[in-house]
Amino acid sequence: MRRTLAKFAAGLAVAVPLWWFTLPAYSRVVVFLTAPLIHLDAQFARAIFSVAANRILMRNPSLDIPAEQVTYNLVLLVALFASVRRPFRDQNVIAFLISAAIVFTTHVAGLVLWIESAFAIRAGGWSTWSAVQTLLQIVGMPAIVFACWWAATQKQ
Amino acid sequence: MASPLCEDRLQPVTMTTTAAEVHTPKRPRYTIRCVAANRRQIRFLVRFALLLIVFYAFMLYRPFEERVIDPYTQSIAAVSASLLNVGGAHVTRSGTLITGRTFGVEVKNGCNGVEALFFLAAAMIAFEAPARWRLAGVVVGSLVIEVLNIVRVASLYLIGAMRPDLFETFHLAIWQTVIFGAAVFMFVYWTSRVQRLDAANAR
Repeated sequence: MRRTLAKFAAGLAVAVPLWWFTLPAYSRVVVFLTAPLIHLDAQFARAIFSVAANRILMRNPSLDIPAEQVTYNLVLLVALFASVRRPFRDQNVIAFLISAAIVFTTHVAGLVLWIESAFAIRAGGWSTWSAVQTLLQIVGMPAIVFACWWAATQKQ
Repeated sequence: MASPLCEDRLQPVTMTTTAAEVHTPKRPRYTIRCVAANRRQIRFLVRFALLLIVFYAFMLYRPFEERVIDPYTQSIAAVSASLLNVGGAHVTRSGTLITGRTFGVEVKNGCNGVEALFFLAAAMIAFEAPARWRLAGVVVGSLVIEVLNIVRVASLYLIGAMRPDLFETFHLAIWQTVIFGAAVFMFVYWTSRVQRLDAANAR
């Protein structure tokens, strides 16, 4: 168990700076896939997105989203997969890449929910969007990472 | 994605097997045990997800939030403030707000440890184990998580006061990973104890 925790800590130490420094580029990829989905909603049909440092900026209408809040579970994903026995074995690397793809799709969904929720609250209080967005952010993001990791490594 | 539980197994050689088949036996990709294990995994993950949704619905239920979650969050803030004062930080607490001379933190949902408790409880209840083991696991795990959470709140105040530029990184990426990592590893350790107990009882 001590070795597992040490590997988890090492994974965390690597993942945090990696995540922090690649966050602007990663956010641009998330925004690239989110924009067409958001444009399906008539109220956001003319929305324009940009990324500045670690903020995702939407204009027309305006919204400022902290990118770290949408993507922080990447750190947990890397740290958990770093803790497995032989993390660089082909099987584990493939499992990590598949899990990362699943987590990426939840980041796109999370950004859509964030935007819809923010404007629903502006329009007049709590809504289903807000409930789902809060569920995803507080509980769903770590739970999805755990589920991917558990499914990939349960044998070990 | 092939389950790591599936192992290729050799079929036994039968009387009607040809010479070619003896040298190149067929290797099925899945066995009955493999399929059963996959179903158990899927059932566990589905139960886990449903329990998380149920627990979260409790969090959203206003009377429960006002009578249970809010007082609980205030007690976390109170203990964290006491810890900071013992360490010489000179802070005051008002409700869930901890303030010092130059900085303040407010303990909200997401920082009161409740989401990690629900995560751990959902995982342990979803796992097939005796009820008393689940209860013991949830109680002990909750205590560990809340001790870690109090340390989190206190340390975030100090980081915010001394290095505000690092606050968000520690708040989200580091501490959230540590708290949920602790929940995951407590769950893994607990499952290994349960499985050892099951094996001992089976003998």
